[in-house]
Amino acid sequence: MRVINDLAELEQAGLRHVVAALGNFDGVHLGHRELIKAAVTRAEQSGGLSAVVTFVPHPMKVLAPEKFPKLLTTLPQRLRHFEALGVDVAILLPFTLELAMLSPAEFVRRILREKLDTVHVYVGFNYSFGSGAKGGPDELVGLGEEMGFGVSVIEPRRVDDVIVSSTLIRGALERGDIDEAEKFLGYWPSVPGMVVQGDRRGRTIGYPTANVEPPEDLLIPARGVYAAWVSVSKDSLYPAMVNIGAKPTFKAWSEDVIEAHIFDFDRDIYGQTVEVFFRRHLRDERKFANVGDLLRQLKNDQITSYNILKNDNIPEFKHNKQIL
Amino acid sequence: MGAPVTDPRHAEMEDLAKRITGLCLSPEFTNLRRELEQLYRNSGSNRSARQAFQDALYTLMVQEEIDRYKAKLLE
Repeated sequence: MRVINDLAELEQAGLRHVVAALGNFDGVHLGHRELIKAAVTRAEQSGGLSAVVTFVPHPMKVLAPEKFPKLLTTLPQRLRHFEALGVDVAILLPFTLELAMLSPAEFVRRILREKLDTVHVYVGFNYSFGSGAKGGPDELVGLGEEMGFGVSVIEPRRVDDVIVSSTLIRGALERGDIDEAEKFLGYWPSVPGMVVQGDRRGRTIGYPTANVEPPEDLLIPARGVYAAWVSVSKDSLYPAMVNIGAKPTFKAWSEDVIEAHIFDFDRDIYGQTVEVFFRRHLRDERKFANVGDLLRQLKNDQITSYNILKNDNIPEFKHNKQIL
Repeated sequence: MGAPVTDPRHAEMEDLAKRITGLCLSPEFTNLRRELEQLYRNSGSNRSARQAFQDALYTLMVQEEIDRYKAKLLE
């Protein structure tokens, strides 16, 4: 998949016969996936190029930073999903105030017509564009007729009679409801981050942890203990149990820290980027009166995690091994 | 009569043996060892007794270190 990072690069690229999927696609959830797949299919059938056109950073971060929600996915995660869906080109438009000032008609003319040879556009039912987000799907359909491209508006995707939305998924993760988040995302929610030096508390009782520092803007699931998979290098997944808890800090607000105990793993991975794929919330965070109580709980968490993870059919996972 | 022992390691080892004996005879150790052994056996471990003994002892040694450190801070 080709990635285009600005308007100049887009102009130079000279893309022809583009079928574009427009949106922010935070989370790349089931609704987004349906929309993007429709664009990819149409491009394949018509011999054109499928493109996702999205803004970086998220427009809300520029226009209303105080209302900007934590994100469900980082940009590299979104790009990975786009590629997996078969997208040919990801066009990342830098969201500047200048771009924000364009009227809906100007946006369509300057971006979709002049910079891209757009033949068809796919948007979600709640898509908005142009200055003050004044343009909606109906307006885009009208502008498409005027400027010679087709527009398809994708209806909301429902799961169990509920409309799939990023807000809904955010709520599920904030409650630690991984099953619900997965149901609407269509994949395991995950958090990437760099492994940093921790306080090495777990090491003393045989539970060394990789302390994962997540990106600042990313939503972290609720505090507690989780069964999870950890991807250390691109193609390997390791079974793990993960604690999300408050990090002792001198700052006024409390930051969360992700501590992953990877089973049967003794490699030094400080400074490496890993990704934690959450599978199930096991219990809330709690304090223990003594080390014995902590050990009892950790052993139970480990058994529970194994029993959950063994059903995931990950080839590297050896089902017949000793759990403890 | 043997020669007098002057090696300081002897005293250290004797002290360690006393600490381990004290820990192993404590009800806390017995309870933790039993619970862990049961847990390990249920999870299919074929060395549950040995592993439980070792983990319980190690855990109580860590706890002792923590208690000692806390007491030192309060001094």
